[in-house]
Amino acid sequence: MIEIKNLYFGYEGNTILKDISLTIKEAEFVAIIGANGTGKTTLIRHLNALLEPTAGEVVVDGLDTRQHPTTVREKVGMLFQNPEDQLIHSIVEEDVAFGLENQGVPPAEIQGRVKGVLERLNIKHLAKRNVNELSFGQKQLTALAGVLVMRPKYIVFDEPATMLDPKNRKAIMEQIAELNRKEKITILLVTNNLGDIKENVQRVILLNEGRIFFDGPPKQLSEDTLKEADMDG
Amino acid sequence: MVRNIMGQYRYKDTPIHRLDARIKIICVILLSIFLFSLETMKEMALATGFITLVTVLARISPKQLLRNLRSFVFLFGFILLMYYLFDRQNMIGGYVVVIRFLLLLLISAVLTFSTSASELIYAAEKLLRPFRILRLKPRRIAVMIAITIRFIPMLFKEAQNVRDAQLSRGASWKKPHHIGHWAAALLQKTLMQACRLADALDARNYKDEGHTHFREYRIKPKDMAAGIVILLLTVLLS
Ligand SMILES: Nc1ncnc2c1ncn2[C@@H]1O[C@H](COP(=O)(O)OP(=O)(O)OP(=O)(O)O)[C@@H](O)[C@H]1O
Ligand SMILES: [Mg+2]
Repeated sequence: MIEIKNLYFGYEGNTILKDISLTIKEAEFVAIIGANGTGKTTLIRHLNALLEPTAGEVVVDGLDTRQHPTTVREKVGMLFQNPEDQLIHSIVEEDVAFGLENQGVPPAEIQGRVKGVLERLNIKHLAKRNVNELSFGQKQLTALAGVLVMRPKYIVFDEPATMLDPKNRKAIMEQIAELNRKEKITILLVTNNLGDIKENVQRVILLNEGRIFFDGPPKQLSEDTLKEADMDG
Repeated sequence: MVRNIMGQYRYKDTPIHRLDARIKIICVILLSIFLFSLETMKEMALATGFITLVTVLARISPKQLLRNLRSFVFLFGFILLMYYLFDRQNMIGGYVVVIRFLLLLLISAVLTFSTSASELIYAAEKLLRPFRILRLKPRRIAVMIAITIRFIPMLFKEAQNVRDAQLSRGASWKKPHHIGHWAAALLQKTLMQACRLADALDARNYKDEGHTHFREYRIKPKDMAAGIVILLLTVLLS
């Protein structure tokens, strides 16, 4: 369970997140939507301790993100808005192994888990490739492999489909839904595309100017509410 | 440059490729020192013979090798010309200098052609372990090398992008302040990239200590033997 309690956050006096309280239960599939610059990325960066609250607290499975950043990061995997930014090594399989190396997992086990996750995502053929030569979608799958290999309980996706063509967009959304359905991984999906929340998503959180504007099942989200939060197309 | 050095590795099944990267690095260092102690043509001939043998063993394509050496032709010409103009009695000395350089380039080429970036990074980390008493963190250096290898090509691309963006908006490459803007924009992008990178290291729980390796490379008896042979050769010849 992830609990956000009265979270405030600001950059140099400029308050971005205002009084956010949320509880995210296990195996939920939650979408976070909101206009550009409302603080979606800022909010989710609190979930794996990349940012610390200015006030309030974020607690993952009973652990405060400020006191236990390492354990929290093992539980909460994160896919950045641009996968390029989270790849450290140049060779796909070495990059996928990076998190496990840090965790101190024995080499034989690392190799097995890396192989397994590459097979699962159907990118075994990319194992020895240089990440600089991959397409955007392939980089994204590599980044996802690096997250999945850690066996996180929660995964946060920051606009994973924005830069993809319709076919790849559908593929990654399907992939994400499957993680939730088959492996019961809790998913937090930041998106700007209302189409993404039509299927699979159980709960939508709409942010507006750093506050929670709506929190409920997608069906209850009305056009008027969206319009008020500058989300009408 | 990094792109150049790292782009040349091609896996081939040769004894030199299979040799442990740590032994290779140590041998390159030893041989380099040794090369600078060479004086006579006879010693030169021996060293040339040995290094040529290693190059052949590593099955390095002569074409690639020549392409590598091409950029140094001018330097060699210049050295020989200087000897010819100012020290004509000692032309032999000029040849010795050129051959020494050539051999040096050759052995570093053998290293980079026969060793993958991952092996080099791993070897660097292991070889730096004794320096931990100076509070140096070998893992930090290894990851730094890895990141450099990963991000240098991106930096080139970024430099090109910023340049294109400026040119497309009418900037001129001849005006110094436009070059200044270019450098400033590039610096800003690089710094932002560095911030995102720091986040990535955090998000992936980067650790200096208590980590393991995806691949462990073990020094086998035959690696040891090869190292000792080269060590002996070096000592005997000098
Ligand atoms: N490092 C920073 N320093 C100062 N202000 C920042 C920083 N990062 C983000 N901001 C500001 O915080 C606000 C929220 O940004 P955030 O990236 O969380 O928005 P977002 O909802 O993810 O937007 P988008 O849909 O464009 O990704 C913005 O006004 C942005 O300008
Ligand atoms: Mg964002």
